[in-house]
Amino acid sequence: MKGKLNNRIRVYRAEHRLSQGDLAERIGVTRKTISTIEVGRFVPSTVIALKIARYFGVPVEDIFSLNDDVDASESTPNT
Amino acid sequence: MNYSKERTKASKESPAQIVDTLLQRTAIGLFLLAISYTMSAAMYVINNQDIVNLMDRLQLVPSILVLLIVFPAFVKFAKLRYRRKNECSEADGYLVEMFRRASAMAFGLTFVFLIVLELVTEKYLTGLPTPFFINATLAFSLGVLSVGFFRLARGDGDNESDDDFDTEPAP
Repeated sequence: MKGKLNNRIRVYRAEHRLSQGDLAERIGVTRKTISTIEVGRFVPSTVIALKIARYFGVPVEDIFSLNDDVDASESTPNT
Repeated sequence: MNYSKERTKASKESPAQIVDTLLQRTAIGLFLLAISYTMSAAMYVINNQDIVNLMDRLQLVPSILVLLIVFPAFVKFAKLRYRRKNECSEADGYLVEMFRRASAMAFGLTFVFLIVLELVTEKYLTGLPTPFFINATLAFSLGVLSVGFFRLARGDGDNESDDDFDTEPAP
């Protein structure tokens, strides 16, 4: 499971010119939570992921995604 | 007028920050309690009465510190809970998750500690009273929980720099 989740929070923050602290304040978490999500050290709960996506006005899949290599191996259906 | 409003807003802690502060202070409090229980357990194995008396008196220090450190944070948290009964988002933060992991780790290691203690007791610690084992177990459990929490919550520093983008929102 470790390292499977990619995120583009940093990109969206840059687009919206937001610091980690600003984003944290707007979605009701601490800056440490945002920074650890960004670096991939903490996998956020569904609630936090949805709040981040809602704040930026995009689907949650635009911000969080699974690694391509993991996707490819797991998406193969069992026959 | 606006300046004072800004200052008030800046000094006000967010609910998530209040929860994190409580967790950090709770972990410090648990560590102090672990020290206190360690001293209680040690009193059963130390033969020197002077040292035992000194430790008995010193035990009050961690208890007072726990009260001073944890209680103010707990009051803030209780006020927050009272004001915002339906809010639960602050329970999803990074430190909350680390506290959960540390708790699980402490539970597992305490279980191992008890098994080891049982084996050791059969051969070596035969004459000690029950309170020694209770204090030793509590000290170990609380110590592992607090140290584990701080170890897990310790930031990498370099990876967590806050990009200070221009705070004006993009049009």
